[in-house]
This record gives sequence, C-alpha cells and structure tokens, in this order.
Amino acid sequence: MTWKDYFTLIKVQPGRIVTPRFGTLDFSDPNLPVEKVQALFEDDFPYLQITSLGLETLYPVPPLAKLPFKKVEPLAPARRTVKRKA
Amino acid sequence: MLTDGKNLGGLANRIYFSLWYDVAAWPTDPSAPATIELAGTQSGDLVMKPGKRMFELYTTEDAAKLDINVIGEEAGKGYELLLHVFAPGLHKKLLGFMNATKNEDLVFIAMDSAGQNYLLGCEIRSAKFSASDGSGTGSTTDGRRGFGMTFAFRAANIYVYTGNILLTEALGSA
Repeated sequence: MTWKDYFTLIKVQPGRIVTPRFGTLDFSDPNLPVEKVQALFEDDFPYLQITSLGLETLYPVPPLAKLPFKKVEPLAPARRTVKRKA
Repeated sequence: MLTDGKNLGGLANRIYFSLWYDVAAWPTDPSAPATIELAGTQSGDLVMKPGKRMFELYTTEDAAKLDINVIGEEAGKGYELLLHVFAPGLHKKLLGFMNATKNEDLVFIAMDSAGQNYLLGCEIRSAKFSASDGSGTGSTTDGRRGFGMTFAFRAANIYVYTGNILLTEALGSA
C-alpha cells in the first residue's frame, strides 16, 4: 500500500510542493511515507483528499461498546378504573 | 526567544518566483489578531492560476540576503524589502530569466536560515527588478561569474508567509 491508496492529490498536478513542515515533497513519488502525508492532511494541507480506504484504515471507527443484556419484563396491562356510582 | 538557540543569518540557496499575474489568490493578512505573533503572520496559500506554478532560482551560498528598510514619513511608514540574489554562471537559462523578468511584475518567496518564508508581492503591488549588482564575467579567474540581482517590494506591513509553495502546475479551468 502507498500513500496514493489513502489520499488523492487535488487541485494540482502531481509534482513538487514546498511545505512548511517537511520541506520539498514530490507528490509524483508513490513512495512518500504515509505518516508524512497523513500529518499534512491533519494540518489541513489544501491539496489532499482522503480516500474511503484511507478513512477506513487510518481513522477506523471503534465498534460500539456492548451493553450488558438485561431482560425487560413486559408491563402489565393498565387496570381500568371503574367509577362507582354513589 | 530563539528556538533551540538557532539564529543563523542569510537566505536559503533557493528562491521561489512567479509572475505576479499568474497568482489566483493571495494569503490573508492578519485582521484584528489576538496576539502580537499573529500580527506578523499571514495565513493561507499563494494560489496559482490553472496551468501556472512557481519556479526555483538557485543562488550562491552566502550571496543572497533580504534587506528590510523602513520607508515613508511620520504617520505613513511602511517597508521596502530588497531581495539580493547572486545566480552563478551566465548560462542561457539565467539570461533568459533576466530577459523575461526585467520589466515584469513578479512575486518572490525567500526562505531564511531559520526556515521562515517571506513573500514579496501582494494583491495590489508586485516585486520588481530594481538593480544589478556584480553581474558579468568578473575580471579575474577567481572572480565571480554570474548575475547579481536586486528585487524590490514595498508594503505597509511585513509578515511571515506560512503557506505552501507550488512547484507543480495548478489544476482547474482558466
């Protein structure tokens, strides 16, 4: 897997961009470290979009915690109140 | 305060430039900044027009500098930034650069030795080639052969540019 599986370069041709955080990165190179690209994405780098695979792999949603099962007894039917005649 | 005691002078060996009218959007100057640090910081990127990009210009080590001069009179003070560059060799590409840019509106980004970028050019004003200094073949064999250039930009304020520098073409419809 390369960074290109997790992110898509947008708004620019694949090529070199000088970033304040990592200096010059060549986005035509599929071997850029995923960690660096992910860090840029998290810094709101405007030229990256995450793919569905990237979302699934890098930001997995934790499964919902299982709640203890508790049997719920059905409520007894409400009794009708009968008014007595005076 | 100096970060880890780092305080080297001078500029990095590469200067970035483009034509002023190839810029689609400019970084944002601070507006009512919350801190004094933010008052010296621009936010956002220099965005290029579709099909346009910035280019690199190599400069000899210890031969480039950015002078910051205060200009204007009382109540009208501003800054003049003078970018001095010496590009070695008199190769065709360099001469072509000079021919193409000497009368043009330009934008530069220069990085200092602390990694801070300075943008010369804004929405209303460009950087201009203003003087040549020490250009030519030199007179001795150990002399300097190349092109010394000074580019000038005047602005109300001076900021650190914190955006990215596109060395690849921007996409989109023109």
